[in-house]
Order: sequence, then C-alpha cells, then structure tokens
Amino acid sequence: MIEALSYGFLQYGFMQKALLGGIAIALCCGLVGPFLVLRRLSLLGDGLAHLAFGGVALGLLLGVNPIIAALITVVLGSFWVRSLVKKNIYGDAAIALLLSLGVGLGVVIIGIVRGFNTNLYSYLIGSILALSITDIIIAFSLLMGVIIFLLFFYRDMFHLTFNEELAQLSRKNIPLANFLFTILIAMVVVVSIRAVGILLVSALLVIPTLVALNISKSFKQTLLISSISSIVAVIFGIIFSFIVDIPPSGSIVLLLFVGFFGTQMYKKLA
Amino acid sequence: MAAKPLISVSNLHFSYGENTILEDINVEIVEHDFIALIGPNGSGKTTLVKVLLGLLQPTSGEIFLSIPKEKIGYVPQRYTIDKTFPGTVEEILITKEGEAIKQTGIKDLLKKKFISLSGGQQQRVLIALALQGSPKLLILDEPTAGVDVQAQQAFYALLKQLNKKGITIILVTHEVGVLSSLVKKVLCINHRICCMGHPQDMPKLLKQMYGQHFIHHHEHNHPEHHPKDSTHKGGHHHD
Repeated sequence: MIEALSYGFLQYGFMQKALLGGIAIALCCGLVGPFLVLRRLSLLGDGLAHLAFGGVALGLLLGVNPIIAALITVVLGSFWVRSLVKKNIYGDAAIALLLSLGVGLGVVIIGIVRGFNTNLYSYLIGSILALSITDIIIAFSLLMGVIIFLLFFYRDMFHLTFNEELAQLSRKNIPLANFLFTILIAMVVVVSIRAVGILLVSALLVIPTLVALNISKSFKQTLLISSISSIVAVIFGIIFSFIVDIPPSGSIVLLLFVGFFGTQMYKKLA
Repeated sequence: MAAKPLISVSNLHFSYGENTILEDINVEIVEHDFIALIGPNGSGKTTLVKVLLGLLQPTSGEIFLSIPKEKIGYVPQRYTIDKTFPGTVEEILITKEGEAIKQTGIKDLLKKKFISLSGGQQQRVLIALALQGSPKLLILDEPTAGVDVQAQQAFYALLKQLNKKGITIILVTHEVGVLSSLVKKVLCINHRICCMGHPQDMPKLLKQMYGQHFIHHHEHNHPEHHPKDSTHKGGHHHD
C-alpha cells in the first residue's frame, strides 16, 4: 500500500474520479443492502442487474444512453417483480423470471446487431476507472436521495424489515416507503453497474450486509458497518487493482469476501 | 347494559382461488371479551385474524369495526421474525419508557438483540410493542408456541391482567388445556364456525370439533372438566 502511495496514484484524474464515485456508490449499496438482505430479497439486486444487461443492449441498439435505457427497464422490472409476488408467485421464482428476461433480451440484441460487444463487456464487468464527472455527480445525487429517503422513512423501513404485517398495521407510510424503495433499489443497481458491472452488483449489495450481520450489535450498527465495509472494499480494491494491474471490480469483490470470512472467524472465536 | 360490540362479522367468506378457507363466518366480539380462537391446523384461524386486521381482503361479507384500526394491537407468531434480524429491543419499541415496558417486565432487555432472547422474552417484547399503541383490542396469534411452561404461565397471567384493565383479547391457540381458567369464551373454527361457548364447556366443544379421540385425551389430562349442556352449535351465539 505504501508502494501505491509512493506511485502517487492520486495524481491521476481517473483515480480521483474512481475513488470519489466509488465511495458514493459503495455508501449507497451499504445503506440499502441490509433492507434487501433482511427482507430475503438478496437476489433482487442480481435479477435487476441482469435485466439491466437487456436494458443496456436495448439502449445501444436504439442509440439511447444505455444507462437511461437500463434505468427505465430496471424500474419497470422491479415493479413487475412486486406485482408477481402479490399474485402469489414465489419471490425467488419472480426474480429468476426477471433475470432470464434480461439475459435473453441482451443475447438476442447482440445476435441481431454485432459490433457493440466491447461496449457491452464494459457494462458486464464494470469500468470504475472510466467514471466521468457526470457519473460522479449522478452517484452523489443518488447518495443524497438514499440519505434523504432514510431520514424520512427509516422507522418504516426498519419495521418493514422486522415484520411486514406489523408494519402495515402500525405505520401509515408503508405503501409510499415500499414504492420509493423499489425505485431507489433500481437506481442503485443501475448506478453501481458502472463500478462493479452487471455480474458483480449483487456482491456490493449483499456482502457488506453479511459482514455487518457477523459483528453488529444493533440494526443501526448493521447499517454503519455495512457502509464502512463497502467503502473500505471499494477504496482498497481500486488501489490494489492499480498496483497489480487487475480489473478493480474483481479486487473489490474479493476484498469483500476477505471481510466476510474475517468477520465469520471473529464471530466464531468471540 | 349490553357490552358494546367492537367487531361484527357477517357472512364472511375468504378463498384463495378455488380454495375456500373461510365460509359463512358470523361473529360479534364485544368490549372486555377474552376469546380463545381454536381449531385444527389449516382451519383458517390465522386467515380469520388477518381478515379482521385488514391484512387480507374478504372474498365477500362484511366486517364492522367500532374502533379505529390503530386501536387494534397485533402480536404475530414470533416465528415470522427473521432469525438474523439484528435489531435490539429498544430499536423495536416505539419508546423506551412507559407503562407497557413495566407491565411486560422487559426493562432489563432493552439493550439486547431481539433474536438473542428466549421465546417467552420475545413474546413479552412483541406484546409491549402492541401495548405501546394503547390498543382497545389485542389479537395474539399462537403466542405461546415454543415457549416453556413457566414462561407460558407468566404470559397468561399478563393477558388476564390486561383483560381486567379493559383490553379485549382474541387469543389464537392450540393450548386448550389452560383455557378454562383463562378466557371467557371459546370460538372453535374449522373453515366455518363450529361452535362458541364457555371455556367450562371445553370437552363438549372439542368433541364437536375434533371427535371422540381428542376428547378422551383431553379428559385424561384435565379430569376436572366435565361437559355441561349449554354448548351452542352451528353458528355464533352469545349470552
């Protein structure tokens, strides 16, 4: 690490942008992740990310900004999953449907239009080192959205996570909180694709929460530890990738795994 | 003066697709009632509770509430709480102070994680949460399932005390052995209302619902219960 510092990696604009954008994205994932994992929706992030693959391909095909195309597709997809679950289709089956639809759509479009495979590849594994100023502004705007949402709806989300039926009975804002959370998750997934790619988005949403659940002593601590471990993994993952010249998305996710196994060991020994 | 009805249910039906869960339910729950809702597994007890709470919409029929929905406290089965939920008791409760915490004796548990508590302690936390909404009606869904006998006794004593203070209680339970000394009425359902009566008439009520085998078992365990002739049949009746 000292070696990395001596490289003066911060003098590179792309590294500054990667770290700034990465921290915002990590914080978004760390804050919403616990609400997904504890509501048994861990795979929703993965399903939505794969749907985003279809959305990105559709955007490239139609000449529309792929991220905007992915965002629209993913928001619609997340509401579709909710409606399927309400119709008594199992949550995991609904997510599998979503995932298959996204990949199917993407593969068909790639088959029709050959030529943007390279572009699509960057969305699959992420390109955090290629973040633009606009990407960073979007990431920080989303982070503000997540923080404002939690300031207003923290108790509602807490009770939804504790027991959905009790929450529906005792809190009036539950439908609104659920609605906004669905949109927020879709946005977090799409924005995170820039950092870790479609294939690894769910890692950034799920593993920091698992790390936190291993050692936290309260719900608020879970949010805090999840956010910190997510940020630490992103920062050191980027630096590590710079030193050994490997894709940053992979090193971020591997560092998260180290955090998970480390806290598992601590939990067993404590 | 007749007691004021809190909930009146008339001609209630509920089905999932072609599967009828509740059929022709007619019942009235009045102020200060303490009703045990019993029935075999899959008989529709929890569904009835969820329909009364407004969590499920009836297929047909009507439910009249004379109190605001916020005045109904609900204690769900504790197994519905995720085993990895990291929240502490004080995070779950609305406030850290107040009568509900004293009544349920959970002051020492406030800093502890909910999932680290024993079954009996978890139930007391859930009931404290329900009481913090100052309910007029408390609905408990199998609260003593998986709770040890000592904790069950303390829990039932608490319910009795709450009922004396004026809270109407509906208790969904399988623990029929304790009902005669606890509740004022027993409502037996098996998709439709089989019978409603006094807990002293338990053997007869159980016989109507479960058949002869169960009644022998029950009498063996509770020889003090002798059937009387005041059992009502085939609908809802009140004194």
